[in-house]
Amino acid sequence: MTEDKLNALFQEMNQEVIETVPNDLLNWIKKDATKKSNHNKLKIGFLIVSLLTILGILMYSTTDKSKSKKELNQHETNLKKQENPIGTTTNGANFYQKNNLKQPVSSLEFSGDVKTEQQLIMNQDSLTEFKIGQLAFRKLTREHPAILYDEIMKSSSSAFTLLNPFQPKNGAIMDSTLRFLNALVMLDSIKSYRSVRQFFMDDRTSYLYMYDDYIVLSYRYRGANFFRSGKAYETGELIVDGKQIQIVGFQCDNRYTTAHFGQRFYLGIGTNDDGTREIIIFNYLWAPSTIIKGHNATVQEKDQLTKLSNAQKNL
Amino acid sequence: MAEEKQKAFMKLYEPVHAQFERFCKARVYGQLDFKDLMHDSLIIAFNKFESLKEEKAFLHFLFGIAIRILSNNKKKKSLDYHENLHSVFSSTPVVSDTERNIELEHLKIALSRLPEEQKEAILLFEIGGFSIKEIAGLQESSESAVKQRLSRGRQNLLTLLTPKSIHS
Repeated sequence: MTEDKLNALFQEMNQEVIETVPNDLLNWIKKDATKKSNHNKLKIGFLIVSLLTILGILMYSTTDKSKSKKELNQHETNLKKQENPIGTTTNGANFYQKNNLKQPVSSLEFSGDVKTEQQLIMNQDSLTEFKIGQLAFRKLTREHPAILYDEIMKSSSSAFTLLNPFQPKNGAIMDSTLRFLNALVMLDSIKSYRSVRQFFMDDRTSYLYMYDDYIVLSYRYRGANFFRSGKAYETGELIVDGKQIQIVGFQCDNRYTTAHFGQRFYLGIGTNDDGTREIIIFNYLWAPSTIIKGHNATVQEKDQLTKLSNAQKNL
Repeated sequence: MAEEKQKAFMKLYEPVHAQFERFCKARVYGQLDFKDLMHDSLIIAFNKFESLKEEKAFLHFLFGIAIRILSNNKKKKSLDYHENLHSVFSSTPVVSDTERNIELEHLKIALSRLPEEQKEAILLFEIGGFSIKEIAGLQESSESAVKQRLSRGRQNLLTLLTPKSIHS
């Protein structure tokens, strides 16, 4: 085939007989008009169906919400059960009876009056024995509830719960006995779990204080203050590095500071062979993050801390 | 109002009807019924007729619509393209048995075997009578690309239309 032949063929193609008639176009357009109206009907139908679907989804989500709310309430009930004063449960009572110890007063029954606290005498069989009452950090009144349960519950049912989840129980044996009741541990040094570098606390007033089931952890190192306080809502035992330690979970309240309000915090408290204490701070999934070494407070240290507390109160 | 529109549309369309039909016929040869393409293109052209600014541009307007329909359908694969050309050829009746018509059929078969862009460029050039610049506009590509398509397309056609290729 040559170029000329190809050109000739194209010319012939341009003169080819046509099969359609232009006037038929009118019919096509009419046909399409009906087609279009059908199309519109379809469109409207589709819109109605999609609207109904959206409505259905909305209704379902509302039902789902109420369902989840119920679940949350259930969860709240469970949590409340868990938050019963640790020392007053059957196990706890047995523990105290067995060890010939005085039954501690729960912070639930805590009057909030500093004077009442001062009357309480520490009977815990520990290395040191001291009055615990004067460690009230701020005078509380009746109007200021010791722990705002409602607020805590609110925070636990908020969207931020995802960022602040409950610690899973796997690997930990949970019970309701708090071993170190009414303990005052002076904190000496701190180190990251993954590091060998150890830092001493900035001053001698860093402490872990467990008053019944209420926990205060306060320390200062390298100029940074660290303060958490709240009521223990669960407790148990966990084995870390071959050592069995007591674990305590507490939720920070706004009794002294609102900085970490609602945040759940997990502590492990262990005793070394030489009698010193080791406090482990856990991340989520029981991953140890920080180890704090301390010792049981002596009477002098306790007095010093009380004096300081009183001095701060008077400021 | 609608009648006036129809009249105005037909006035512009009638002169290019034959040209448009031939283009559609050759463009979708072996793929689908050219009447469908014509129908779809004309409906769109009629609906968008108000957007036509110059009467001179009608041919360009109409062919542009047909090209866009084909390119959209190619993307969507919604049209029932025949997978095997043999089935189409066997089902397409050869109207005339004269030598000229046979040659034309061969040309259409050869065109259908060309790459889409080459085929389109050749048909727009040979049947539509568009300039290279206009084709570049329709195909949304550069003039040099169109030139290349035309020259390669013609070369391919010459090869495909050799007696050996036709019989194979």
